[in-house]
Amino acid sequence: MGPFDFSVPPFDRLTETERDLLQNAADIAYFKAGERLTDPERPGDVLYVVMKGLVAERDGTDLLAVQGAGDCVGAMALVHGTRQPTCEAQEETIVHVLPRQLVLDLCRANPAFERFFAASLGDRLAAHAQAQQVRGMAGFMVAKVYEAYLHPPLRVPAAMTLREAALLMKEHHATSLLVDAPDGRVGVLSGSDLREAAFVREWPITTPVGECATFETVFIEADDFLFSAQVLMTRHGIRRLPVRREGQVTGVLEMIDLLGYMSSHAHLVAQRIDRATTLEDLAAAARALDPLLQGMSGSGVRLRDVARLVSDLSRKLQSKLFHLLAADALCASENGPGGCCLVVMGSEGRGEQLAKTDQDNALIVREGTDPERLRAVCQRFTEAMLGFGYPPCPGGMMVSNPAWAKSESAFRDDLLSWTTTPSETGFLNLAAFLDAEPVAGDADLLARLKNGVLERLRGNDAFLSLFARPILTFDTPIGFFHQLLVSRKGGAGGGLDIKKGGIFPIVHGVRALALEHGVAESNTFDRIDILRDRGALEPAVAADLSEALQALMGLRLAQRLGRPEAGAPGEALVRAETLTKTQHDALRDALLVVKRFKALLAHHFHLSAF
Amino acid sequence: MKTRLGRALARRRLRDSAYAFLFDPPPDDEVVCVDCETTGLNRRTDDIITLAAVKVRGNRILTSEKLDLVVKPGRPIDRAAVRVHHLRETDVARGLPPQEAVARFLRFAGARPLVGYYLEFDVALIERQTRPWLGIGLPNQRIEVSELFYDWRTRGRDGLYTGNVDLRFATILGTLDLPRLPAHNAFHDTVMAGMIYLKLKALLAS
Repeated sequence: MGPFDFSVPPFDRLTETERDLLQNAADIAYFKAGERLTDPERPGDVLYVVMKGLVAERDGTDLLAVQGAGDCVGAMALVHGTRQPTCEAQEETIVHVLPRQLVLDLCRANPAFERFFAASLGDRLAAHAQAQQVRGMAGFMVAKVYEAYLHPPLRVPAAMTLREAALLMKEHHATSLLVDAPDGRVGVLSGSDLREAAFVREWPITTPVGECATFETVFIEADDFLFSAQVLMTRHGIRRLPVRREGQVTGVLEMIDLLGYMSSHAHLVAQRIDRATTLEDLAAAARALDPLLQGMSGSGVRLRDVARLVSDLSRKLQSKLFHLLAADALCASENGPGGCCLVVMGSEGRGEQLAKTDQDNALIVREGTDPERLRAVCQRFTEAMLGFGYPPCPGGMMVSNPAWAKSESAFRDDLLSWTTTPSETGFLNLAAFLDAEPVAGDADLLARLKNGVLERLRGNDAFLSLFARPILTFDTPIGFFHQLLVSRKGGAGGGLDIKKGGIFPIVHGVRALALEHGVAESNTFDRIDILRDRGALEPAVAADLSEALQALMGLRLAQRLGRPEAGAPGEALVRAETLTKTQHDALRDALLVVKRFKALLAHHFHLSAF
Repeated sequence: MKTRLGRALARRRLRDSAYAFLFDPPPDDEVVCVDCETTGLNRRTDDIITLAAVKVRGNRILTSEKLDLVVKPGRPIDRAAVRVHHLRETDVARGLPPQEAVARFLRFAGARPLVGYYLEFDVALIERQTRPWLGIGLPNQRIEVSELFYDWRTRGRDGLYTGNVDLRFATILGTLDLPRLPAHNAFHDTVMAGMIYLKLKALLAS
């Protein structure tokens, strides 16, 4: 027991022993209004947790954030060690003082604590980057150096000849060597150093490598953020960094691996899917997808790109699965199942999937092929997908359901009835179908059906108005004075339904506009871009919508990762009290955009007339 | 506060030269907050059951270097006292002998000024150990936080102020708008005394 309040995240994730550890290592400090907790000149050796009071974080004259009780101050300093914003007590402030080493130890020992910590650091890095007007920096990785691929260090004495060094590099497929100088320094010898010495300067190949290597070597610690590695590489104009742990060089980080860190993980999974020859292989690849999703979410990569990558992999998986299953059923066709088209719908079709979401798929069968022949394949497909961890669609929108696996003409009849006799299920089905994308088989089958709908509905204002109407069904939880409205309904004990109140209005509103303008794309971000290019959306509105949708998707993902029991009631609810200040502000801004967009659509589609 | 002569005499009375450090010049800008929980409220007959102390250096309360000792009292704990601090006989049965606890406290506090709320009481209990053993009371300077609070409340009124100042601990914390920790835990009380001390020091200096 002690003065530290462990009910505040991320400290609520600590175990009993870790709490004792923290309690015994933390001090309490008192600052008068105007006194500085940190400034750029001092190295950051502590983390402050506000007990009472307010602290302003500034970068020069820009106010980055104001931290109150329970917030962490000086976190930037823990990332960089050198540069940090100025933190000043805005009013008299009492803080807990946590030594740097303690925080690092806790991060190492407790992944849940670290994840939360890294995420909120990521927020701050992003805020920091934005304040500096460096938009590209926002995508910085908060992964650690040791997580990236490190080349094993090849150490050679300075007396080794150039030729021996070159042979050694060839033998080990290494792009660099670490050179031990007699005076204990460690230098780096790269391929270009060799080229420079041998060809440009025409030194004999018996020259000792000690004379060619670079000795002003910059190191990075294995526990540093990849972000810092990139900063170092850029600052010193180098492409590789020796990595140290406890004073020992444990590997070499190449810039190419740094940049490829995220995509390479995805690439490996994609390769596994490609090479799978049995259902078991594919199931293993599907399992490898989960850690990838987890890793991507904290990575700081643009969520729009994460979603696209996840959707691509997921489609690849389904395409492969379908080919494996249908290979024997459709042996008549040489090039795989050409007589039909497997399509994915919903968030998967839109390419906005951030996890293994409900299966929303359908099979369009070419005229002349009997859908009954494929019935067994469809059944096995849905079952296999369940096995891969994709939950069933509650609405039965799956190929195992005969209503969603039938001939092209049967689908055409369906589409006609959905558009001519408006009904709730009809709208739901139409909305899903508009988001459909082909995954395997003959993509023309889907394109023909989709174009037919777009042609028929273009300019049909009365229908569009009905179709757009559901965006007003759910309230957007933001109040008159721009404060968030927390719902106290439901077992979750209060929260904000950002799926219904935020994501759905954007996705469906954009879908309705796309339908009106005959846009065939299914990704919401793409639709927004095309609508903007065609003048259907103001550029400022389009930019706001994309940003808002990304922010909402990000918050939703963060909440889902925070609470692993997916599918539980209130899963879509965001709990306001668990949001960091940055998240809270982002959510408020995003919901304001949604509210304005709803008003715009209500006017555009004359929704208030109903 | 003791006079210079008093300190010199006390130093000559000190029976164990190992504790001569109590008379050294104290380190700059450091104080020690101290608090005890006891078997009761009589300073002549009641005993210490927990003894807590924490250093304050500059603007920092060094909770990472705290002293928090459980002491085995020489007499049973009053029922009323148990209700206040929730420490039962069984909780203190394995505590340190009183003299050992006080010895640790002396080495922890050294010559630093002592800070506390109703400090006189805590010091009296500690001195009941040191007098028969070392021949002296505590030579440290004493800073009573309720006195600082009184000074601040009546400041600028040149003794013309005749009203009462409420010196209850809770009132002081409330007036100064300081965070409250669960009370009647000796360690928490020292931390709160430390916060009161830091804030009043800042207020009285301005």
